[in-house]
Amino acid sequence: MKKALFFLFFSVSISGFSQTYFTRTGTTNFKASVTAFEPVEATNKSTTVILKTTTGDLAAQLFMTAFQFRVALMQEHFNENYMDSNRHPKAVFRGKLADFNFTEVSIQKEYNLSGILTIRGVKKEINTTATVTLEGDKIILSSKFTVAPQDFNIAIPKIVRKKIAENIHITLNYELVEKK
Amino acid sequence: MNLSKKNKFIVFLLAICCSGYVYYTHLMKPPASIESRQVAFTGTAAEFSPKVQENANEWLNNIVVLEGVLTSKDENGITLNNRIYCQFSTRQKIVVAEQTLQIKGRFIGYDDLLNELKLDQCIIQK
Repeated sequence: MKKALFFLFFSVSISGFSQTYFTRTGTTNFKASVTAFEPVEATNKSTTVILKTTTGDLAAQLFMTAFQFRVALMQEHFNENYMDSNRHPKAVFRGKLADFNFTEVSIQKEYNLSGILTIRGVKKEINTTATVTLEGDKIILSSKFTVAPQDFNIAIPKIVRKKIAENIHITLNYELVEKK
Repeated sequence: MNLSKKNKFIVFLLAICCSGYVYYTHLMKPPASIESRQVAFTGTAAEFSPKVQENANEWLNNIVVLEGVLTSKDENGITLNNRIYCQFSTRQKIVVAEQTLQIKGRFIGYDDLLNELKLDQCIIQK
C-alpha cells in the first residue's frame, strides 16, 4: 500500500512538473547549393520535435523521404544514392538547450544548443546556438548549423562534386505547442 | 550530303532546342503529385497499423488510402484512430469532428518519439 501510494505520488509529481512542448510539423531545410549551378536544397515540413521545458532537453526526428525537392530526379538521387533512405529512413537529434529557463523566454533569447545528430547511423556532435521565442502559447525555436557530407560517410561522385557545396547549411524552424 | 551554311545553322539550332526541351521536361520534372501516383494500399487505418509494424521500411514513400476515425486535429493535419498522423500540404481548417474519414496520403515512416505513423501530402477523400 505504501509502495502504491509512493508511486502514485511520484507519478503525479512528475506529470505536474515536467512540461513538454512539441510539434509534428517542424520545418527543417538544407542548402548545398553552389552558385551558377542548379540549387541543391530541400525542405522537410514533417519534423517531430519534443522540448522538455523544465530541463531544456530536446529530441528531434525527421524522415529522409519527406524532404521535398523542386526537381524529382534530385529527390530520387538524394534518397537512393546519398542518404540510402530505405536502410536509414530517419535522422535523429538528441540534445540540450544549455541553462534553459522557461520563464525567461517571454522575449526572444538565445541559448547554446548541443547534442548528437545521427544520420545514416553515423553520429556527429553539433554545437550551435538556438533562438527561442514565446509567441502566445507557442514556442518558436530556430537555429542553424553546418555539416559536411563526409561527416556521415556520404560519398559524392566526382562528376557532381562541383555542383554540391562542401558545407551543407541546415536551418531549423520549429513551432512548438504544449503537449497535453 | 552537303549542307549549306544556313542549313547547318538550322540543324544546330534544332538540336539545341530539342536538348533544351528534354532537359526541362524530363530532367527538371517536379516530384510526382499524390493524385497521379499509384495507390499501394487501400483499407482501414486499423488494418494498416499492424502491417507497418511488421516492416515499416517496406511501406516508405508508398501511397495509401486509409479509412479511420478522426481523433484529433490541428492546423497542419489530423490524427486517425489516435495512431496515424496525416499531414496536409497546406494549412487548412478542418471543420468536422469525431467522424469516419477516408484520406489519401504518402506514408513517410513510424515516429517513435510520439509512437505514431506519419503520412504527408494528405487529401481528404470523403
